[in-house]
Amino acid sequence: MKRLKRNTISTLAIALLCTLTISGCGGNNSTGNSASETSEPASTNSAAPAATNADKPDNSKEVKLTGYLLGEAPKGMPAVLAAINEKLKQDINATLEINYIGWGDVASKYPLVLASGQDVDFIFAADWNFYISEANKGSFLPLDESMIQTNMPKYFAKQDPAAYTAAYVNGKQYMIPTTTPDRKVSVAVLRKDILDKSGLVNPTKLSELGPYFAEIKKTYPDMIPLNLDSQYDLTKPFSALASEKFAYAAGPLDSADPSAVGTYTDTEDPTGKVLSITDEPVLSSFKFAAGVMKEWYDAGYVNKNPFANKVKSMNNFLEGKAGVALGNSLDIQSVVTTAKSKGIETYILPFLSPTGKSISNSWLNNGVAIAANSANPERALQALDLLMEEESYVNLAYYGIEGTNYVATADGKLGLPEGVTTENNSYPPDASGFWFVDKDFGKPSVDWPESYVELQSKVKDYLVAPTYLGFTFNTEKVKSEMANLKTLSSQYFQPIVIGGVKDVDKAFDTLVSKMNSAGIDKVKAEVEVQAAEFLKNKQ
Amino acid sequence: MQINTEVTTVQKPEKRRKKGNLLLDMKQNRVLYLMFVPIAIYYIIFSYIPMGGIVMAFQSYTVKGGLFSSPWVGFDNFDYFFSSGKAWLVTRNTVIYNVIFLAAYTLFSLTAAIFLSEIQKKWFKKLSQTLMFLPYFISWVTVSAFVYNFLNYEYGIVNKLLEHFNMAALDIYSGTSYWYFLLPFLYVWKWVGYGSVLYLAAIVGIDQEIYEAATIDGASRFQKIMKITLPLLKPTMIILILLGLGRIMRGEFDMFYQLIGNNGRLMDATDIIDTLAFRSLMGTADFGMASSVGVYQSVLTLIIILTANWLVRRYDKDQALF
Repeated sequence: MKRLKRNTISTLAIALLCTLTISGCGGNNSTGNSASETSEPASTNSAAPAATNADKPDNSKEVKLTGYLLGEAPKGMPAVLAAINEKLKQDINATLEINYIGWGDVASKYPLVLASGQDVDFIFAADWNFYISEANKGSFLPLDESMIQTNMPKYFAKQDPAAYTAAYVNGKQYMIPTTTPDRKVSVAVLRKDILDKSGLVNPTKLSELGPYFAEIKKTYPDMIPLNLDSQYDLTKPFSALASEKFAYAAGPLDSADPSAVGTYTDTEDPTGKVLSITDEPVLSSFKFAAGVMKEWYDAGYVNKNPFANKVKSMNNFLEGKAGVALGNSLDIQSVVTTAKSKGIETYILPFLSPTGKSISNSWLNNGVAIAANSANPERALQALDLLMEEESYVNLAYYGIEGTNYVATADGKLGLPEGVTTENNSYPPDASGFWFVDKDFGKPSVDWPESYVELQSKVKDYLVAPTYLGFTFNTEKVKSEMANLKTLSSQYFQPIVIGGVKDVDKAFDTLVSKMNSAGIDKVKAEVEVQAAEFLKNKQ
Repeated sequence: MQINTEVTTVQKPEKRRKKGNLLLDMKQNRVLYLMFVPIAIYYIIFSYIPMGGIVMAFQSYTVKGGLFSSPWVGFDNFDYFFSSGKAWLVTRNTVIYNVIFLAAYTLFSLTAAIFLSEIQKKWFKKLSQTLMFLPYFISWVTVSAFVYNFLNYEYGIVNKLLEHFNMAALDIYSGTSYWYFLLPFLYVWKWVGYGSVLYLAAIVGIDQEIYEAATIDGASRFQKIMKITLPLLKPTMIILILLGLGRIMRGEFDMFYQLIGNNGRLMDATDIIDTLAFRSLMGTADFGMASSVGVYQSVLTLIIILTANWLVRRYDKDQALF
């Protein structure tokens, strides 16, 4: 008996060991295999309904779709999702599950979610968020027009076909771009009371704000005029200053990453000449911007170590710790409304090019992609069609539940229900991460201060399409060079950007020599090839 | 600890005889082997199976192809690291920092453990041990927030204090010199509690009779520490140092990344292999290039461990790891 028992235990242990090992092994394998296996049937499946175009897709089987968005779930998300699911169940016999990838983890988690073979049907995609590299890796399901036409009729009717071409990577479309590219300009929000005290009247350029900063330094010792954070704000003042001299796109043409260096272009130059950092007007504009930043940094107008600061200036502005809130005309919405409710009058300064323009955004700025191993790509497309283009869904996803999170006023504006404030709203507008929905369904809010309403009315006139609208550089051939440029920009470019260098000219000399040894020439040559190809297709 | 080593030395010849008959040995000591199973599973799953992933470093990894059918690219993935012009600098920084960390950690843990063992009042002993151990539970993210609030130029506590005494404010986040001291200090602060427990356990394991005999012979407290405690701690120390060497090429990424982040002005002094790779590849998310650095680190680590173990063997065969 005793012996039997012992044997059982050891057999069990061995069995346990085996299952664990196998499951460990299996888990690993399936990552590799499932991607290739499931994507095959997925594409054949999707081809089938496409062929019989007229037929309505078969939705008899109920499915659960998993979506990934960026940011954080608002508190009211479960209620909103329940409301969306109720409608979706009726319309297309599907329900949604939404997961979020927090801002801090995007760089590491986004590729991982796609590579790990988890249940993902759709995921937020944008040219600024690994779209090209993930498409190159085959993480997304390639889409064709007939798939979109069949499953997303509303979207197909509204979308400009040029948007599909813009989303091409190696000749295939991997993303469903928004139908309404963001209409936004970069802005700085200032305190009107301090501005009046400093004697400045309607400043139009960031470089004119010296007296405003001096006034802050003098009368508000606890406030840092430019209290930059390590990510979002870091490059904004520099870019704004540089764009006072030439139409700078706030980032290199190759990576569009504002904190990186690379190749540049004057966005208003119709020939779209690709420029190096040493070419004019880039170098002189950068040196001008760097000079102003250094002056401000030395005068204590900029916080000494933005790299360690994780609080955005928008938040510090409301706390009375920053003299300027940096953002764009969309995301400062909550700042100006909260400021208004706190009794702070604001002045909004848009950052414009010398000709008074700002670049309009491409379709790829916000979009959504289907994961390569999605089990139900067609149903996901159908759900997205409703979420993006059906007004009742858009209102739910973007503004929340009527009566709980917002009320529509008689004149078509958006108000807050009784007892709900901007700060305690469980589902603030735009916060849920559904940025790809049709923004034409968007509504103005009754809480907007005058300065913001005025800005909104002007934004349209500021925007002009850059020469390279929709161009995204495919880094596949110059991966090593791009990685090196990225490394050196944090060491040699970012200190210039905040003004924390001893000698601007010398700092630029070092930067340029480091860029040369990192292989900027090779990158530039590749950019020129792809840019020429892009311009040729555009005509 | 000491007792343990003796037991194994006694058993050694017996084991040797049975070499080649693992199954029999397993049968005879099945309870011991059973106790070993969980840790074996752990290492198989988290250390041995992932080793297959090394192939990624030589592939242009695609999600579709996976590990088995992604195209091979030879050593292309290693290019960026060696052409960054910083490969030598970061390797040197990684090794130097880790050697300093390991030395400081061993020294302070050992001292702390000896002091703790000499404390007679039980409550005081427990209290100091707890206080020393607490930082171990604080993640570097939190520590970085502390440090920022202590040291930042505008609102930092240190600068407010200096201001109070009419002294010039320190701009710690722009000067490399402070960090040569700060980093080891914070490292020791965080880990010394954990390390001292390891050594304390070894001290408790020392046979009390030896001390009693020494007391009767009239040895002073200091003499007992120097002649009994330290020599008997040597095996533990060697094992812990050898294990520590295994991590010498892996920078304390959390620490460097959280404390320094993207601060370009500190980079020549604080860039380590891990942060360089992380920074370069953040935007591209290329698995192949990322694992190439891992392979580079592993190969160097292997060489270092083999060398260190060889040295220990030459000096004292019984105390080598293998």
